[in-house]
Amino acid sequence: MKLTLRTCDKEDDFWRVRNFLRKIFLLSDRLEFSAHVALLDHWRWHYIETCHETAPFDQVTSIWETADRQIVAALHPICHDEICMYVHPRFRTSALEDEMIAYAEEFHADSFEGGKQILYATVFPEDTQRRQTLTRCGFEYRRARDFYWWRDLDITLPDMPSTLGYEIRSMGTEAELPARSWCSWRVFHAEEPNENYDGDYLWYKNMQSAPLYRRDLDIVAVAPNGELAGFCTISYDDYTRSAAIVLEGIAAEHRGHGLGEALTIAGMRQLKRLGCTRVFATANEESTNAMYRLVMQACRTADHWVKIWTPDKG
Amino acid sequence: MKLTMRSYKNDEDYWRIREFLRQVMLSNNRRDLSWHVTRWDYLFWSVNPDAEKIKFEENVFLWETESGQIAAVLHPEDRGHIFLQIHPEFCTSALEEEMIATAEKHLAVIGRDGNLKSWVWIDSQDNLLKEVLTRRGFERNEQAWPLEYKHRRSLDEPLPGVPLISGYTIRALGDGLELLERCYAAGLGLRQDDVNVARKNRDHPEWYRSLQSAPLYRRDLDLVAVAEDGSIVAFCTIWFDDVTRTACFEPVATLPAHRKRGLARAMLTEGMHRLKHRGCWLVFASGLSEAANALYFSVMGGEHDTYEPWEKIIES
Repeated sequence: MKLTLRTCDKEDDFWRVRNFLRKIFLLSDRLEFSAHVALLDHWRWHYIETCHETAPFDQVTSIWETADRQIVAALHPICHDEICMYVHPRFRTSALEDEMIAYAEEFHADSFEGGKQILYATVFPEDTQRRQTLTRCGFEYRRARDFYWWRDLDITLPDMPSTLGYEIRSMGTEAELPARSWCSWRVFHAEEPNENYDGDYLWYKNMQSAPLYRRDLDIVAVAPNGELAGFCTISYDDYTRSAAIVLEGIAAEHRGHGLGEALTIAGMRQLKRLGCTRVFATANEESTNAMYRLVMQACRTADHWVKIWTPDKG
Repeated sequence: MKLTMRSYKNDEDYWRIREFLRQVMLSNNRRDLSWHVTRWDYLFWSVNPDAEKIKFEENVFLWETESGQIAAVLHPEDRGHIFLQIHPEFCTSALEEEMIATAEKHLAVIGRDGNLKSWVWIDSQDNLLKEVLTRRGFERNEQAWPLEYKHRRSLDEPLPGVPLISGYTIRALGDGLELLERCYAAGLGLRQDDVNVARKNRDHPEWYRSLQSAPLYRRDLDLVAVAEDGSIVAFCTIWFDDVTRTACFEPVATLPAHRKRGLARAMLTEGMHRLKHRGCWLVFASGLSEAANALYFSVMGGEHDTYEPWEKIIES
């Protein structure tokens, strides 16, 4: 079948890619062989809008369509040197994946030392076809793994652990944005001096603008002294009745109190009330994996594949 | 194609009907010729548990293809007020005839006049269904129920600025005790200052918590107008469906003492800005009263469809 490659240059394309992801997610028995729609949203509203990891969506996303404009594949970088590929299972061929990788090498590779280029992709070990494609294209397996956790919510949920003195509740109103932003700093920049924090909390409004954001699924832990100690931000997609934890963390000074577990279970309980039947989370740090081992049901791992090459000067 | 009718079984059907309504809306080029998915949600999470208490298993019927695809759904909203949702690919007069016969048999109620009746609400341009209804003895009774105007506005065009109204703030519903304030305001705003309803709403706020559990509820789209003394004097809950990129305003009301100050217009305009920012490009609102329709025509423009009720006395 003849497919046409084009750049997503219209806003409507973004929303079509979202629905395409939902479709292939359902076709994959709701396992993350592609990506949960919430992660695409998170890329756009956080990685791009706040972190500026890539150029805007409409400059870096490409789709392959049939003659009747049905999307069968999509490709975009997720950060400066890593790509995401989504392919409809019915249209998946080596030729299409070769074309996607070649396109990614041309447009999404990053500069590497010595004038070289670098490109990453994440692949599940059981995805033989993708591994063969990458091997053929000169990619190499790297010993680094991402963990993809999930849990069905129709089975009994774990008991809430005791979090003595800490309150678990939904994120508050706009007045709480500075505290939420500061908490993020203490989670992700705990090693840096506090003076480096710029106090700008408006980035959180980007998070809250995402199509699936709900404040009641943005769960926070409040310390006895009133400061925010941790958070678990979940996006629920009612179309696939599944959810993804898009941000989770505990401020350095509040770790070791079972807050991550409590936040996740509180989120699961709320999701169940909303009709959600499966929740996902991704992690690559041992401490986070240890927590998800307690509250999730199953896990798959994905490997990193990387290609470093010297561009053809000709 | 052979379709098989069956009764609603369980919550799985609720979720399947949601997906069906989205497909129908997209097949109709986002015209409000069927129910918007959020009206179905509103019935399931708010109207029915709080007021109507209709057993879906006895009152909702599905027609499915041999492969299990939903082709049509028949259901009431209020008791006796019946709606047909039909996928355009499967719409035939034979199917409509069967659906109307099912409605007459299972969904009729005793009216205020003591007669057993059905009211079927249809799109006013649906001549095929009008023929079926006429054949089965239904009549358009213009005295009994007003038309329901289904207003729509594209958000592609530039939007007007949100008017500032001295003494009031337009914002999203807050936390904690403000939920009770919102419940109280619902009684006053929707029931013409009926304090008893307002108190009951506030004393039993579970109905609002149920509404907040609806799949597409977002607190940042649940708008209120707040007076200087902190009381909620108007509200506008907005439901955004990111699959179809369409939204609905429901409910919208201003407390009688605060009307004629532009609060509803301000909330709707603020809502349209918020929706546009979130990727929505078409918004709907339904109006039954003259005042509601005047407001929506003024804020949303002239684009609309209409629902009209057809009545049949099944047994007098």
